[in-house]
Amino acid sequence: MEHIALSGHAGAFPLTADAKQLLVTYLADARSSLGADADADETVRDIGTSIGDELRHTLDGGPDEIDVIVMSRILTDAGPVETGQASRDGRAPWLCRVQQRKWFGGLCLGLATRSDLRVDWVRTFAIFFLLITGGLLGVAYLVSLLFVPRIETVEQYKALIAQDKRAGRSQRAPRTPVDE
Amino acid sequence: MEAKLAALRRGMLEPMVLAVLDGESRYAGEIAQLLREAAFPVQDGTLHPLLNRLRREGLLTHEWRESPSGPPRKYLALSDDGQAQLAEFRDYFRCLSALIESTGD
Repeated sequence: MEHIALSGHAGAFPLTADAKQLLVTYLADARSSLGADADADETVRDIGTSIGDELRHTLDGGPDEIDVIVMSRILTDAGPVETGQASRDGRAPWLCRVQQRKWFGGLCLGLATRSDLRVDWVRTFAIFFLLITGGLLGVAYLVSLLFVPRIETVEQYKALIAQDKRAGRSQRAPRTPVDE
Repeated sequence: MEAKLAALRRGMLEPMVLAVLDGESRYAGEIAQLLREAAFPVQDGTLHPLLNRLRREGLLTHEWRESPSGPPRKYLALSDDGQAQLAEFRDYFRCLSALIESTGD
Protein backbone atom coordinates (compact mmCIF):
# COMPACT_ATOMS: atom_id res chain seq x y z
CA MET A 1 0.00 0.00 0.00
CA GLU A 2 1.19 3.52 -0.77
CA HIS A 3 0.20 6.95 0.48
CA ILE A 4 -0.21 10.35 -1.10
CA ALA A 5 -0.62 13.78 0.49
CA LEU A 6 -2.87 16.31 -1.19
CA SER A 7 -2.90 20.06 -0.81
CA GLY A 8 -4.81 21.32 2.21
CA HIS A 9 -5.61 17.88 3.59
CA ALA A 10 -4.06 16.78 6.87
CA GLY A 11 -2.59 13.29 6.69
CA ALA A 12 -2.03 11.13 3.63
CA PHE A 13 -4.47 9.02 1.66
CA PRO A 14 -3.86 5.25 1.44
CA LEU A 15 -4.00 3.93 -2.12
CA THR A 16 -2.60 1.20 -4.36
CA ALA A 17 0.58 1.82 -6.37
CA ASP A 18 -1.43 1.85 -9.65
CA ALA A 19 -3.92 4.35 -8.26
CA LYS A 20 -1.10 6.59 -7.05
CA GLN A 21 0.57 6.45 -10.47
CA LEU A 22 -2.71 7.44 -12.13
CA LEU A 23 -3.22 10.40 -9.81
CA VAL A 24 0.37 11.62 -10.12
CA THR A 25 0.09 11.45 -13.93
CA TYR A 26 -3.24 13.30 -13.88
CA LEU A 27 -1.84 16.14 -11.76
CA ALA A 28 1.30 16.37 -13.94
CA ASP A 29 -0.87 16.53 -17.08
CA ALA A 30 -3.00 19.20 -15.44
CA ARG A 31 0.10 21.25 -14.68
CA SER A 32 1.46 20.95 -18.21
CA SER A 33 -1.85 21.77 -19.91
CA LEU A 34 -2.06 24.98 -17.85
CA GLY A 35 1.33 25.94 -19.29
CA ALA A 36 2.29 29.52 -18.60
CA ASP A 37 -1.05 30.37 -16.90
CA ALA A 38 -0.20 32.70 -14.01
CA ASP A 39 -2.41 30.72 -11.64
CA ALA A 40 -1.32 27.27 -12.82
CA ASP A 41 0.20 26.10 -9.53
CA GLU A 42 -2.70 27.38 -7.48
CA THR A 43 -5.21 25.77 -9.86
CA VAL A 44 -3.45 22.39 -9.60
CA ARG A 45 -3.46 22.73 -5.78
CA ASP A 46 -7.20 23.52 -5.83
CA ILE A 47 -7.91 20.50 -8.01
CA GLY A 48 -5.78 18.37 -5.67
CA THR A 49 -7.85 19.59 -2.72
CA SER A 50 -11.09 18.68 -4.50
CA ILE A 51 -9.81 15.24 -5.40
CA GLY A 52 -8.73 14.87 -1.75
CA ASP A 53 -12.32 15.64 -0.64
CA GLU A 54 -13.56 12.92 -2.95
CA LEU A 55 -10.94 10.42 -1.67
CA ARG A 56 -11.83 11.23 1.94
CA HIS A 57 -15.52 10.76 1.17
CA THR A 58 -14.81 7.39 -0.51
CA LEU A 59 -12.55 6.17 2.32
CA ASP A 60 -15.16 7.16 4.93
CA GLY A 61 -17.53 4.84 3.06
CA GLY A 62 -15.55 1.71 3.97
CA PRO A 63 -12.52 0.67 1.88
CA ASP A 64 -9.04 0.69 3.48
CA GLU A 65 -7.39 2.05 0.37
CA ILE A 66 -8.25 3.57 -2.99
CA ASP A 67 -7.77 1.13 -5.86
CA VAL A 68 -7.16 1.95 -9.49
CA ILE A 69 -10.81 1.50 -10.52
CA VAL A 70 -12.10 3.97 -7.94
CA MET A 71 -9.28 6.37 -8.77
CA SER A 72 -10.02 6.30 -12.47
CA ARG A 73 -13.70 7.00 -11.77
CA ILE A 74 -12.77 9.98 -9.57
CA LEU A 75 -10.37 11.36 -12.18
CA THR A 76 -12.87 10.85 -15.00
CA ASP A 77 -15.38 12.86 -12.96
CA ALA A 78 -12.77 15.59 -12.44
CA GLY A 79 -12.30 15.71 -16.21
CA PRO A 80 -9.43 17.11 -18.26
CA VAL A 81 -8.01 20.43 -17.12
CA GLU A 82 -9.04 23.18 -19.52
CA THR A 83 -7.63 26.64 -19.50
CA GLY A 84 -10.70 28.16 -21.15
CA GLN A 85 -9.93 31.75 -22.12
CA ALA A 86 -6.17 31.42 -22.10
CA SER A 87 -6.04 28.65 -24.70
CA ARG A 88 -8.30 30.57 -27.05
CA ASP A 89 -6.06 33.62 -26.82
CA GLY A 90 -2.97 31.61 -27.72
CA ARG A 91 -4.13 30.29 -31.11
CA ALA A 92 -1.36 29.04 -33.39
CA PRO A 93 -1.05 31.29 -36.46
CA TRP A 94 -1.36 29.48 -39.79
CA LEU A 95 1.96 30.95 -40.89
CA CYS A 96 4.67 32.26 -38.66
CA ARG A 97 8.30 33.36 -38.63
CA VAL A 98 10.37 31.24 -36.28
CA GLN A 99 13.21 33.37 -34.96
CA GLN A 100 15.59 30.82 -33.52
CA ARG A 101 17.76 29.05 -36.16
CA LYS A 102 16.21 31.08 -38.99
CA TRP A 103 18.12 31.83 -42.19
CA PHE A 104 16.38 34.97 -43.30
CA GLY A 105 12.84 35.72 -42.13
CA GLY A 106 12.15 32.37 -40.50
CA LEU A 107 9.21 31.72 -42.81
CA CYS A 108 10.49 28.38 -44.17
CA LEU A 109 11.15 27.14 -40.66
CA GLY A 110 7.59 28.09 -39.69
CA LEU A 111 6.15 26.32 -42.74
CA ALA A 112 8.26 23.23 -42.08
CA THR A 113 7.05 23.09 -38.46
CA ARG A 114 3.43 23.55 -39.44
CA SER A 115 3.53 20.89 -42.17
CA ASP A 116 5.88 18.48 -40.40
CA LEU A 117 8.41 18.57 -43.25
CA ARG A 118 12.18 18.80 -43.02
CA VAL A 119 13.25 22.42 -43.10
CA ASP A 120 16.07 21.75 -45.62
CA TRP A 121 13.47 20.43 -48.08
CA VAL A 122 11.26 23.49 -47.62
CA ARG A 123 14.24 25.80 -48.09
CA THR A 124 15.42 23.91 -51.18
CA PHE A 125 11.96 24.15 -52.75
CA ALA A 126 11.74 27.82 -51.83
CA ILE A 127 15.05 28.60 -53.55
CA PHE A 128 14.07 26.46 -56.54
CA PHE A 129 10.74 28.30 -56.93
CA LEU A 130 12.47 31.62 -56.39
CA LEU A 131 14.63 30.85 -59.43
CA ILE A 132 11.88 29.53 -61.72
CA THR A 133 9.48 32.38 -60.86
CA GLY A 134 12.19 34.87 -61.72
CA GLY A 135 12.25 36.37 -58.23
CA LEU A 136 8.46 36.67 -57.85
CA LEU A 137 8.51 34.36 -54.83
CA GLY A 138 11.10 36.68 -53.30
CA VAL A 139 8.66 39.59 -53.56
CA ALA A 140 5.89 37.51 -52.01
CA TYR A 141 8.31 36.51 -49.24
CA LEU A 142 9.21 40.12 -48.47
CA VAL A 143 5.55 41.21 -48.45
CA SER A 144 4.66 38.34 -46.13
CA LEU A 145 7.33 39.49 -43.67
CA LEU A 146 5.13 42.52 -43.03
CA PHE A 147 2.12 40.48 -41.94
CA VAL A 148 3.27 37.15 -40.57
CA PRO A 149 3.65 37.03 -36.75
CA ARG A 150 6.91 35.98 -35.11
CA ILE A 151 7.37 33.10 -32.72
CA GLU A 152 10.61 32.57 -30.84
CA THR A 153 11.30 28.84 -31.18
CA VAL A 154 10.12 25.78 -33.10
CA GLU A 155 9.11 24.18 -29.77
CA GLN A 156 6.82 27.09 -28.89
CA TYR A 157 5.12 26.90 -32.28
CA LYS A 158 4.69 23.12 -31.93
CA ALA A 159 3.17 23.58 -28.47
CA LEU A 160 0.67 26.12 -29.85
CA ILE A 161 -0.29 23.77 -32.70
CA ALA A 162 -0.75 20.88 -30.25
CA GLN A 163 -2.88 23.11 -28.01
CA ASP A 164 -5.06 24.07 -30.99
CA LYS A 165 -5.53 20.42 -31.87
CA ARG A 166 -6.55 19.61 -28.30
CA ALA A 167 -8.99 22.53 -28.26
CA GLY A 168 -10.40 21.47 -31.64
CA ARG A 169 -10.90 17.92 -30.41
CA SER A 170 -12.70 18.94 -27.27
CA GLN A 171 -14.99 21.23 -29.28
CA ARG A 172 -15.93 18.43 -31.66
CA ALA A 173 -16.37 15.77 -29.00
CA PRO A 174 -20.03 15.26 -28.05
CA ARG A 175 -19.06 14.87 -24.39
CA THR A 176 -18.00 18.25 -23.08
CA PRO A 177 -16.83 19.41 -19.67
CA VAL A 178 -20.19 20.87 -18.71
CA ASP A 179 -22.09 17.97 -20.19
CA GLU A 180 -22.06 14.73 -18.22
CA MET B 1 -28.39 18.33 -31.35
CA GLU B 2 -26.98 17.53 -27.93
CA ALA B 3 -23.54 18.79 -29.03
CA LYS B 4 -25.04 22.12 -30.15
CA LEU B 5 -26.82 22.57 -26.83
CA ALA B 6 -23.59 21.70 -25.02
CA ALA B 7 -21.79 24.42 -26.99
CA LEU B 8 -24.42 26.95 -25.88
CA ARG B 9 -24.11 25.79 -22.29
CA ARG B 10 -20.32 26.15 -22.38
CA GLY B 11 -20.74 29.87 -22.92
CA MET B 12 -23.16 29.97 -19.98
CA LEU B 13 -20.67 28.55 -17.49
CA GLU B 14 -19.07 31.84 -16.45
CA PRO B 15 -22.41 33.65 -15.93
CA MET B 16 -23.72 30.61 -14.03
CA VAL B 17 -20.72 30.61 -11.68
CA LEU B 18 -21.23 34.32 -11.00
CA ALA B 19 -24.96 33.69 -10.44
CA VAL B 20 -24.26 30.94 -7.89
CA LEU B 21 -22.17 33.43 -5.90
CA ASP B 22 -24.86 36.14 -5.98
CA GLY B 23 -25.39 37.27 -2.40
CA GLU B 24 -23.48 34.37 -0.83
CA SER B 25 -19.82 33.39 -0.58
CA ARG B 26 -19.05 29.75 -1.30
CA TYR B 27 -16.11 27.44 -1.83
CA ALA B 28 -15.45 25.50 -5.04
CA GLY B 29 -17.03 22.25 -3.78
CA GLU B 30 -20.28 24.05 -2.96
CA ILE B 31 -20.28 25.83 -6.31
CA ALA B 32 -19.89 22.50 -8.13
CA GLN B 33 -22.63 20.95 -5.97
CA LEU B 34 -25.09 23.80 -6.62
CA LEU B 35 -24.43 23.74 -10.36
CA ARG B 36 -25.01 19.97 -10.37
CA GLU B 37 -28.30 20.47 -8.55
CA ALA B 38 -29.22 23.13 -11.11
CA ALA B 39 -28.70 20.47 -13.85
CA PHE B 40 -25.63 22.36 -15.00
CA PRO B 41 -22.86 19.93 -14.07
CA VAL B 42 -19.27 21.12 -14.34
CA GLN B 43 -16.07 19.14 -13.88
CA ASP B 44 -13.28 20.15 -11.48
CA GLY B 45 -10.85 20.36 -14.39
CA THR B 46 -12.97 23.13 -15.91
CA LEU B 47 -14.22 24.85 -12.76
CA HIS B 48 -10.93 25.53 -10.94
CA PRO B 49 -9.09 27.20 -13.84
CA LEU B 50 -12.20 29.35 -14.42
CA LEU B 51 -12.49 30.40 -10.75
CA ASN B 52 -8.82 31.39 -10.66
CA ARG B 53 -9.17 33.36 -13.87
CA LEU B 54 -12.22 35.22 -12.53
CA ARG B 55 -10.30 35.97 -9.35
CA ARG B 56 -7.38 37.32 -11.35
CA GLU B 57 -9.74 39.45 -13.44
CA GLY B 58 -10.98 40.99 -10.19
CA LEU B 59 -14.54 39.64 -10.47
CA LEU B 60 -14.19 37.43 -7.39
CA THR B 61 -12.61 38.00 -4.00
CA HIS B 62 -11.53 35.21 -1.68
CA GLU B 63 -11.14 34.53 2.00
CA TRP B 64 -9.81 31.42 3.78
CA ARG B 65 -12.04 29.90 6.46
CA GLU B 66 -11.52 26.91 8.71
CA SER B 67 -13.86 24.02 8.08
CA PRO B 68 -15.24 21.69 10.77
CA SER B 69 -14.61 18.74 8.47
CA GLY B 70 -11.71 18.72 6.04
CA PRO B 71 -9.12 21.31 5.04
CA PRO B 72 -9.50 25.11 5.28
CA ARG B 73 -11.77 26.36 2.51
CA LYS B 74 -11.20 29.20 0.09
CA TYR B 75 -14.51 31.06 0.10
CA LEU B 76 -15.19 33.07 -3.04
CA ALA B 77 -17.51 36.04 -3.29
CA LEU B 78 -18.49 38.51 -6.01
CA SER B 79 -16.58 41.78 -6.04
CA ASP B 80 -18.37 44.96 -7.16
CA ASP B 81 -17.07 44.34 -10.67
CA GLY B 82 -18.31 40.75 -10.53
CA GLN B 83 -21.74 41.92 -9.37
CA ALA B 84 -21.87 44.43 -12.23
CA GLN B 85 -20.83 41.78 -14.74
CA LEU B 86 -23.48 39.36 -13.48
CA ALA B 87 -26.14 42.08 -13.90
CA GLU B 88 -24.87 42.69 -17.43
CA PHE B 89 -24.96 38.97 -18.24
CA ARG B 90 -28.52 38.72 -16.92
CA ASP B 91 -29.68 41.70 -18.97
CA TYR B 92 -28.01 40.30 -22.04
CA PHE B 93 -29.55 36.85 -21.64
CA ARG B 94 -33.01 38.40 -21.20
CA CYS B 95 -32.36 40.35 -24.37
CA LEU B 96 -31.23 37.20 -26.26
CA SER B 97 -34.16 35.20 -25.02
CA ALA B 98 -36.62 37.92 -26.12
CA LEU B 99 -34.83 38.03 -29.46
CA ILE B 100 -35.24 34.36 -30.29
CA GLU B 101 -38.89 34.42 -29.17
CA SER B 102 -39.81 37.47 -31.21
CA THR B 103 -37.72 36.99 -34.34
CA GLY B 104 -39.48 35.36 -37.27
CA ASP B 105 -42.95 35.35 -35.66
